[in-house]
Amino acid sequence: MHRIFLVLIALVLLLPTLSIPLRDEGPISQFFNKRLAAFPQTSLLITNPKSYFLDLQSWFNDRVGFNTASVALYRKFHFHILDQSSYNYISKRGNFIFYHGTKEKPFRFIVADCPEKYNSHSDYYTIERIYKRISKSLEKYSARFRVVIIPTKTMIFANHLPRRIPKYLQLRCSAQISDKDFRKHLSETLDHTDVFYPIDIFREKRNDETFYPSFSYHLHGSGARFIAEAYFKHYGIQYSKSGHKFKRKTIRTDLVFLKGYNLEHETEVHDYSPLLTLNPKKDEYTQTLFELIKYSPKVEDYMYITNRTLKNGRRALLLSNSFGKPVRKHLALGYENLMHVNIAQFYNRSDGNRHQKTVTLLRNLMKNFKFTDIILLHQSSDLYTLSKSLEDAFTDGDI
Amino acid sequence: MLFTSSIFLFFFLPFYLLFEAILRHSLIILLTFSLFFYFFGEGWFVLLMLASIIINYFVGLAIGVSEHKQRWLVVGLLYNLFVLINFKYLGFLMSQLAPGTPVAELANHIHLPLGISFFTFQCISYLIDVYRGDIKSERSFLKVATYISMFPQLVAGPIVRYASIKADMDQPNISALNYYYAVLFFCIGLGQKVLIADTLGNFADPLFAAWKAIDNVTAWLAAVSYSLQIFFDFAGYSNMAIGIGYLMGFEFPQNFNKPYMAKSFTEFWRRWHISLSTWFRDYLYIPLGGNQGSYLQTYRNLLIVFLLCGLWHGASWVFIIWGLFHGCFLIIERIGFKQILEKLPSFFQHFYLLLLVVIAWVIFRSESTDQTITILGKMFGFISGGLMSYNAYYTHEIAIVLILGFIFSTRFVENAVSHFIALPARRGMWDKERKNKIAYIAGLTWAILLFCLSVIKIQAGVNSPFLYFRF
Repeated sequence: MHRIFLVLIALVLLLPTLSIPLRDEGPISQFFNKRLAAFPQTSLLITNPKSYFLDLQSWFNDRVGFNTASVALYRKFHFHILDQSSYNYISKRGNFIFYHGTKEKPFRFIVADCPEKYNSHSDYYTIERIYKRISKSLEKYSARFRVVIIPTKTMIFANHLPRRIPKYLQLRCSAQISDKDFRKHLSETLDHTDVFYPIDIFREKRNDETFYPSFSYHLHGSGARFIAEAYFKHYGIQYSKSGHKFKRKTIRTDLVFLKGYNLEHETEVHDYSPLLTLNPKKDEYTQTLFELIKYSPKVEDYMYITNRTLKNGRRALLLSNSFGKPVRKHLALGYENLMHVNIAQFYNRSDGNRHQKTVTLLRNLMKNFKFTDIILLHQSSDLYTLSKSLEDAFTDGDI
Repeated sequence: MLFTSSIFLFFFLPFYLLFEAILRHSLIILLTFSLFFYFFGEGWFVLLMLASIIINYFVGLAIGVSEHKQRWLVVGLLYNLFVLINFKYLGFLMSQLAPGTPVAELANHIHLPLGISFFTFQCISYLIDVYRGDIKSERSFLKVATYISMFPQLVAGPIVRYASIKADMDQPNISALNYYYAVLFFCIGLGQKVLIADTLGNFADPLFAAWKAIDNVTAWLAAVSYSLQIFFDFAGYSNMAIGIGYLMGFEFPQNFNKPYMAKSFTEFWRRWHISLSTWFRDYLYIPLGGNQGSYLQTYRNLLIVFLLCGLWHGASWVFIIWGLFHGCFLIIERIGFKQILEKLPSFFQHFYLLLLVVIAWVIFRSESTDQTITILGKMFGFISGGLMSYNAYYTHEIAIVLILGFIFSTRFVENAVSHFIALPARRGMWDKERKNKIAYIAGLTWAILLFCLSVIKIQAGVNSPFLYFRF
């Protein structure tokens, strides 16, 4: 009887392990937003067993049964019952979520969104230096360098900031001191760069539920379309008219990898299939793109789009962080070809090999394809980090 | 391998249980799994443990049969102390004696193998017990090896005496009631560690890291959170070890008995890390003369014991100060303060103990004396607080767990539910009263619920290593 009891307990505890061979790694990788750990090399067992077992443990943890379900359940509990997410440092108030920081640096994103005084920001001198370098590098190709800055949710919905955000930060965000100072300073220091920062119109449209969805970190639907159209108008770029044909559809929100589960909200979904071709086969650009994808954990970080209806001689390289993904199709309406690369992965400089290969490929892109516009698109808080990540690729004289 | 890791819970433990079931509590299986457990965590340092097993086995035999028992005891003690000093204290000693020299630099890089303090103390207790004639020297190498390397208490205690498990080694104590307690102890321990200690650790760690910036209230919150964290962390581990011990047929000694319910330091040390305090009592305090000499000799003995108790926890000045802090208050209580305390209302006695224990934990947790002074200064208003508030790391979960931590560190819940749930009995964990079946089902339900919640949290990746692993 006692032995049966032990066997029963053992079998129950073994269930998560026994399910490992049955699990599809793709969805797990997608859920955790990372490449799953590889099985350690056997030779390590003799030479460095401690390291071998650490790797083995990582391999096991990534695949053990019920791990994604447990994580989702834990985060749901935090989000819905405790009204916040401690794990991911997402704060919530009512229907509004804000990604406010990391464990090491709490509120860092709120601080970045709402700096105390823009023109005293030392980072701007670095940004200015980088932009000058990029513009100079592009002169010989007659390509224009344009910066599209998307106002962050913090600045548009400061009155919805969660109460746990320190009062001084809430006041700073809601004071809206930044707009004019920000643009003024940008235009003074970055006089050779086109900067597009449509915050006033964003504030006008803030009550449109599909513009900047409350449960989403990124903007989707009408917000993404609006950015592109305003950009075309601002620079006088001819673009294909879609006729504003769209459906209101319920889609899953973003930041699944941070929240660990999906929420749904309604937004505009545009069908541009009559106008655009995504990643066309047998295309030189697409082949290059596939080379890039090899070094990226996520295929959706890259996209090449051809516009079948437009002949305006413009070709764009869209370099962005995650905000580029919802906007790229709309921006492609103004270009014959648009290649999008999410350069946020360059943040991770610890993975030197991947970083170096990707930078090399980016240089090749600039040399081999005659882009007319280089667009750097991101939200306002990423102004420094994203520019800095470009520095290596656009080192003076290398391109 | 942490007890709270997925690979332990879902791979190592079930495979061990399967072998246990098939081979009927074989010591060879237990030894093999124990050595693998250590190899998993410390790689080839398992050879150091094997060396300790072999040397202590033969020295134990020699003490048992030789006419020169004392010489052999000295040989054994010297070996064990050499291992401990070399791996744990040499870096600290050299940094104090010859700071900045290449020798000190080299000594600083000596790796501290997991659980070395625990298994070395077990070896020492074994040799002394044989020498004193409390136990016979064990002829079976398998039993000595299993005793020293047994994986449940290998890396974080409790410190087990050979006499207390010898009978269980010969004939494992298997019964349905013991299995029930095994499940209960293990799951309660897991919950204490994962649900309470780790959550509070996520709050206390960054606050202690930002010691220069935190404000006065936050300094208090950091100190209180850490005090609860270390209790639930260590008690949780001990309970898990006791639970696994029951599954194997061993009864490990109780290690904690609601220490924060104590009313004096004397009582605190009867309730906190009981296996360590009794070890020091039996193998150091009493041999030094205990309280049989003059007052001054007793105080000297107490200071020596607590100086070494502090050092046992780590090679650093903060641990020495922590140990002496406890030793000094034990002396103050002996001088007559305990009699005064006992005349005060119970509330003041608790307040006195908790306040000083929290202060002591600040010393213990700090990485430097500067940090200790600053945090204590902020707590008591001698140093003005910084701008950083606890808000940065506060979550509702932490508030809930803090409250639960307070409640579960008392007997309140046990007293309230002990008539309905067959928990370890109120007056001592070892009273095994037979209750009605529903009480057992309720106990199992509670255990399973704790297990599931803990596993969810473990998978969410928010658990942290056991604090006591570094000792």
